[in-house]
Amino acid sequence: MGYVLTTFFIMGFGYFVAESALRQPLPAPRLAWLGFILGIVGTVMVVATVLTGHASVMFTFYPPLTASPIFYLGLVLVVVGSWIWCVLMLVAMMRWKRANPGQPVPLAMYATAANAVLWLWTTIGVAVELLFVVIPAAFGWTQTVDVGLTRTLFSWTLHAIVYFWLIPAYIAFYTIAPQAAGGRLFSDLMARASFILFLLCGLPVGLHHLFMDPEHSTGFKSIQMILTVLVAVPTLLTVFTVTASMETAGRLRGGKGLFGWIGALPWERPMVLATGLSFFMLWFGGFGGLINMSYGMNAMVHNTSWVSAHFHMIFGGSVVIMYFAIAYHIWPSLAGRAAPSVALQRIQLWLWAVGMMVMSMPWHWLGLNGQVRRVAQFDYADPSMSWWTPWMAVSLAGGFVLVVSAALFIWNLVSFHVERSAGVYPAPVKYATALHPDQPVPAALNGFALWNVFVLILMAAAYSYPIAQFFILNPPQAVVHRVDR
Amino acid sequence: MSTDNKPATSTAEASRAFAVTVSAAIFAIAVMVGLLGFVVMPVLEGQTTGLDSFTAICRAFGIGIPAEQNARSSKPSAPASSTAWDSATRNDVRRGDAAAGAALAQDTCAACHMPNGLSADPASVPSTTGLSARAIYKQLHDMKRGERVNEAMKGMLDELTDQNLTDLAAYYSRLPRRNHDIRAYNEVTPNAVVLATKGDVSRALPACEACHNPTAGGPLEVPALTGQYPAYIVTQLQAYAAGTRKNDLYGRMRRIAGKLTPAEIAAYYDAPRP
Repeated sequence: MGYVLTTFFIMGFGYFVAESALRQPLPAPRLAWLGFILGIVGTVMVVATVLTGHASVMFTFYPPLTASPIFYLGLVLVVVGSWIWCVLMLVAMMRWKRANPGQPVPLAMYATAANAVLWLWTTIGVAVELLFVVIPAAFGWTQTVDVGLTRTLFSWTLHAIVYFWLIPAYIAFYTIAPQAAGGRLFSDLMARASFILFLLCGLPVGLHHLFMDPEHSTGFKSIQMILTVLVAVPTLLTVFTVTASMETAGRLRGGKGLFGWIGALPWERPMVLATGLSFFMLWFGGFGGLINMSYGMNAMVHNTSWVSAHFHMIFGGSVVIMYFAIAYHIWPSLAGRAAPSVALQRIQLWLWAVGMMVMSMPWHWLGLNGQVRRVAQFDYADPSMSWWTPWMAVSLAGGFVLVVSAALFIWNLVSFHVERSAGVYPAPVKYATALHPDQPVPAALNGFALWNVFVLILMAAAYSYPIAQFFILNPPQAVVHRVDR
Repeated sequence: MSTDNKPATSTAEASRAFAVTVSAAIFAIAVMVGLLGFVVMPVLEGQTTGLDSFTAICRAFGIGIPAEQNARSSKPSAPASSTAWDSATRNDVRRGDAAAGAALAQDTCAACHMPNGLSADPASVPSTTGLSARAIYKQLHDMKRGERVNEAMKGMLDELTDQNLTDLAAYYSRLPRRNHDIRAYNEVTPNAVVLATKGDVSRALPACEACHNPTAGGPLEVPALTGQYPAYIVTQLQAYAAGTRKNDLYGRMRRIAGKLTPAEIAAYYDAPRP
């Protein structure tokens, strides 16, 4: 789910933005289809091996556990398909810049291209891990694996990948939600700055997933922790800018007083509702994340349900609910038909937010009380765990609500095409304009050359010795442990 | 903020000024982060444990961490088992010749292990079906080297080469498994089932199934127990508990068997014979 839903959604949304924000056709649509087909084939290979029990190695592979090579090759195909997307996004942006010299790239496209750059950097870690260590082991060409090295390489990808997932939600916050609410984007420059900060602070931070690992020194863990804290800067910039944009909309609609503008917002519109719900969950998820990324506090919650709760809340909640809202927002112009029932869309979004809160709040609590994660079942007859049972039951109920919501989401999209009541939708999607549209954009915030240099420097500082040490110290290797036969 | 009436060069200059300012800011932040992580925090933390600043900074980089070697013992090392699962051994076991193993088994092993791999005397002779080639090879190799003491087997194995062992392992690992899952016995005490499937946290006993799983689980050479004779399992657990069998790496089974009560070890006797 983590790899497939996100990758396909982001690719599709990116293609949509490239055509609708730049108002030019996508370069090489055949290549885009090739990327899509590679992704589909890869997904089938991954799902087939997982469901037949030949790839019980979970999301992060856990070397020296080794699954069927088909599983890893499938993942490689999905990633290669997404690389095609990245290249097309950058080509589309460069073509537009050549055709419109001196003009700032539309924000939605700039942010999408930033995500493509981020993803290219992000995937280097897992690609090196798979191609040079894990896949040779899966084919039986090598008998041993350096677990420390593979964990380090995966950590390179492991955290930046969540920003790759997050950025489409932020694109919607900045470029779609203010327009949907009837307002304007408070600051275009602030938006560009926060996407660039995600690119800079999102990458050299992966070691915060390895705080409890012995193979890294405290210094590198500490600097990556501090860089992780800096991610709070673009997050708070976003909270400020989007809230200010929404306030503009609320006041334009006649909202008065300190908080009166909130009630004046058009909450009946799914995009506005989803933004509100997403912000609500972002507070909880972000708070949990601050604890996870603190070197000291992490020790209390390491490998407990708290961690699962955190990423469900912030990714499954804040981010995925925006995926839903984006789908509802762009589907009319894709299908050429109006939504048959906006009320059902609202119900679906509410169910998702409520379900996610109900499911993950008990996990937070049980995680604090020592419930470990990645465990299929617990012995609830044991006196030390028996009190977990009602909490788990509540969590399960939340899970059921999520299932209902997910089914309703699919129905809401299908109904565009099958419901007779769906009217014709002639208008193309519009993106929010800035409050001060004439503000000049510095060249640095209209391209990525400067930022790529900084990413390179930061990654070299954060990861060079942590990776090089495995070749300098030559530590013992672990014997490959196959789980596919 | 409008720049409509300004010449284009001033926009370019502003862009350059922006890039320089931001670069300087990022550089400054990166240096501060580095100082915090590699100097300030290690030195302050180091003071609390009596480390001098230089050592503390080196350790923050992962250099010079005092991984002192233990003093070497003068006693000759006596490993529990010399069966090492390096690439060569694993490839040898994989390439064992089952046909050659079958002929050898007919001549040498069938008297006790019966032509079908079952046992003439379940208390002392195990079923050799349903086991992986690695599990069989390890026991043969250990008994040949005397690391698992069995006089009868030692006499036989002295005559055999390493190639013979891998052939036998290939042959026996391909015999059809006798299936009798312990959970199929109603009379097995509930406690035995709990030990097998969950272990006992209070005695730090892991579940037997954590390693003795028909598929993946523990170390490579772990034998499958489903299908083994209860009587044989009991004699082996008793031998581990008494320390008379000691070819288990890291003393895993000796430690586990030593914590079981005689009643728990004997639990299999209460079960009906297959």
